[in-house]
Amino acid sequence: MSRRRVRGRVLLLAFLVLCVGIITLDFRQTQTGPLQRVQEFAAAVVTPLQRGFTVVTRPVGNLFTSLAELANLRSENTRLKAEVERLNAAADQSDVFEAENVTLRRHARLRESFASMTPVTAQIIGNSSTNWKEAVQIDKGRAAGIRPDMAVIEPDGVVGKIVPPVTRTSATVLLLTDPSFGAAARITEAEITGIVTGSGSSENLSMKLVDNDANVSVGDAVETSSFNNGVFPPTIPIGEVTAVGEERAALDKEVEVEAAVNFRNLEYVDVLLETGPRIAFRGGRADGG
Amino acid sequence: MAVRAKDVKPRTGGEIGLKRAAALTAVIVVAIAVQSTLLSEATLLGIVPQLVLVVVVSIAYLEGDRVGIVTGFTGGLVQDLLLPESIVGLTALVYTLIGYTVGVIRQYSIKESVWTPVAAVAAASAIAEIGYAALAILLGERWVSLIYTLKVTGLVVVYNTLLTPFVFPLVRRVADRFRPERVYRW
Repeated sequence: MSRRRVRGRVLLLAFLVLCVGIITLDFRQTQTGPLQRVQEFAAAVVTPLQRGFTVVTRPVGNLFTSLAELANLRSENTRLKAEVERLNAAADQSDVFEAENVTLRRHARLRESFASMTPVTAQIIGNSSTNWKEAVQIDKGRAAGIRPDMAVIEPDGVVGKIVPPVTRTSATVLLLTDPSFGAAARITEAEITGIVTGSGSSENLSMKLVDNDANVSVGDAVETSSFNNGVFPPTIPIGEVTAVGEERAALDKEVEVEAAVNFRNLEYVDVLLETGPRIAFRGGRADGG
Repeated sequence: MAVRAKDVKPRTGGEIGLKRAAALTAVIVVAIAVQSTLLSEATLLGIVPQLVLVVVVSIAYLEGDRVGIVTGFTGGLVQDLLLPESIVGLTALVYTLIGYTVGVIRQYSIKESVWTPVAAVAAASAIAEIGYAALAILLGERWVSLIYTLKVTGLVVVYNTLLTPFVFPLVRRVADRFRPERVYRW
């Protein structure tokens, strides 16, 4: 009994050392370390499953009602009832398709609004599995030209950016709402720039202003700026100012920003294959009508 | 111990069997996929339940400390690997410790009760979330706030506890299904 316990402790110690080793490796690795490979492998294993579960959860009614039991009149009755149900389901489904059509049309318009390139529209197949990271997985990857540090937007505004792991057929998007995210932003009305950061799940964004004397008011629009060699092209909507913080001496002024994108209902996103401040973005919001 | 040690061979890590190891690995991978799709849509006030942790605690409770260590490490590491910009190995570290602790403590639970795994999951969830936050702060993730940590911990404990009565029997069935043939000597 006691020897077993000792062996358990030895095993625990071995695995704890292994964990610490991995953490160290993670801290030391650059963009393409050995862990990156392992990460891509893990993503390649799990994303097909995620794709499967996403298909299951999408509101596609079961159209394959059994037509096998048509032997007698009683089953004729059943069949007709099933037919009615099927038609109802088909009607429901046409609503779903119509809504999806509207969504995809908006994405098509967004794609046309870039002068120099065509963004890739991708579907979201998985969400962050923890409460400490705000991220999603999408169904397009290296094969579609997606690389880390590319901007991800949707017709309402900024969604986030591509981060590793990126596999051939999937990629990961770090969302604007993640606390480790920072984007150069601008409030045109107040003529001021700053950095927008996330504050965790379903919370508002916060924006640190570079100038304490700025005259920011609630309702001002916040958009990306060409502040430095950032990820995003300028003038893409980020959100709207919802609260202006109290000015504290010697501290940066901070304002609260409500994101333009509804992160809870995201289904499709657009990845900009070229990023940086030089990309021409014609005309503000790509939605409407 | 009064029982002759030679006759009652304790089940050890080596005896878990390949098939069984594969089955338990599959359970973990499916749990990760479910957690990042179905459950991340069905949140409780925006908080995702930690199904993988529930599975790790269930397996450790059923199989003991050594299987608990390996399961916790695997589940935590895969979860770490799939998260972008996170500290790889941190969840693995926390879940390894939890797998071991649950595996050791289960020997002290005197009688078989349906509530023991539920209580184990509740306690493990609280320790896991607070432990993760504390380690993340130590390793330099400055944004982790006390209020957010408490919110996450509270809601994860509630949600995980509610999942346990459904998950634990399922895990036990998989574990029993692939139990290696053993010779019982009376």
